Amino acid sequence: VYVAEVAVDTLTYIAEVKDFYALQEVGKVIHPVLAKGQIEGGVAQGIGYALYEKCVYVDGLMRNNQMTNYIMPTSADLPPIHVEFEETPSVHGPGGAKGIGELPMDGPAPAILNAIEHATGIAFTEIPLLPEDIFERMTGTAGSGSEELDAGIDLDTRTETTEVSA
Amino acid sequence: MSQVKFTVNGSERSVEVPPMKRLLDVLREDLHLTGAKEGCGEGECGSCSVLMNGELVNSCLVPVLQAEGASITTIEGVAHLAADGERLHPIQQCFLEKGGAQCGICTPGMILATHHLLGKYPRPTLEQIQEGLAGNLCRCTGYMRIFDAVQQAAAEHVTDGVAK
Repeated sequence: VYVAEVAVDTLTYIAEVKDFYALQEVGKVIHPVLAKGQIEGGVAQGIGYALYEKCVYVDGLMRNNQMTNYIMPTSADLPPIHVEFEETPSVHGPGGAKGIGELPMDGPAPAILNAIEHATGIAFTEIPLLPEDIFERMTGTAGSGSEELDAGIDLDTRTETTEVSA
Repeated sequence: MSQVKFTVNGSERSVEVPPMKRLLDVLREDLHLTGAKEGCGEGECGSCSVLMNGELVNSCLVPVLQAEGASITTIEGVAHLAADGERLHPIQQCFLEKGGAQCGICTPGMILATHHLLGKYPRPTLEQIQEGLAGNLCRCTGYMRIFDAVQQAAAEHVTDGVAK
């Protein structure tokens, strides 16, 4: 179970996660410190997945393949992440344990998008949800979302149009 | 090729290298100090952080020429040399105890950034920690354990003791 508290700035359209709670079922917890660390790290990646990390592909190549333009959360971007465990020992794992690493990648994005829907009244269905996407839907300005930044798509459409009119 | 002299972890070193070779490569290849890691190679991720004259620098952005005469501390110089062998610096010990390291690629840089931060703010607030470590990216921990480790290190007064 994941709970996100999100603030959406109505001037800049930036959505920011203010607080995050994760309740995770992981079988038996073997090492509490490292287990919590795994969940926190996964949640941090999930937040990046939901709000920051957009891959822009042009002709099959990733165009933003640098840390400068592929934005992942830094220490200054993340909310406090609170982790609780629900322990139901697994009969298949060693000592009742289960795999843990990938679990928390799945939940944060839906939790954050639901929180944004709660705040704005708009149901967003795509991630990563960048400020320009929120701007597009909140102001009804079609064509301003981050999908339109994909130069490859733009370029192909334009070329086709030119050929047709010629 | 040119000769560059500088102090690394307290000992004088002299290397015969191309002057524009990155300090990171000189440390790793010529001096075999492989603690500083190459992450992005463009100064964004901080995994190659070292202290140069007390300042935190990305060693992938420093031509070795600029290090002439400088005093450099890498992660290898952070641990104390005690009579009974090497002992972890309290910052390292705190990272270990609090689970501040997972895969370990960011850890050398994080520890040097923490050392630099605690030199500036011996009692940092959470905001100062977040700001101070924002140049060092970590994919695994979500930073929470690292904040805990820095706070514990600050509580233990560990601002000195690193070979300059």
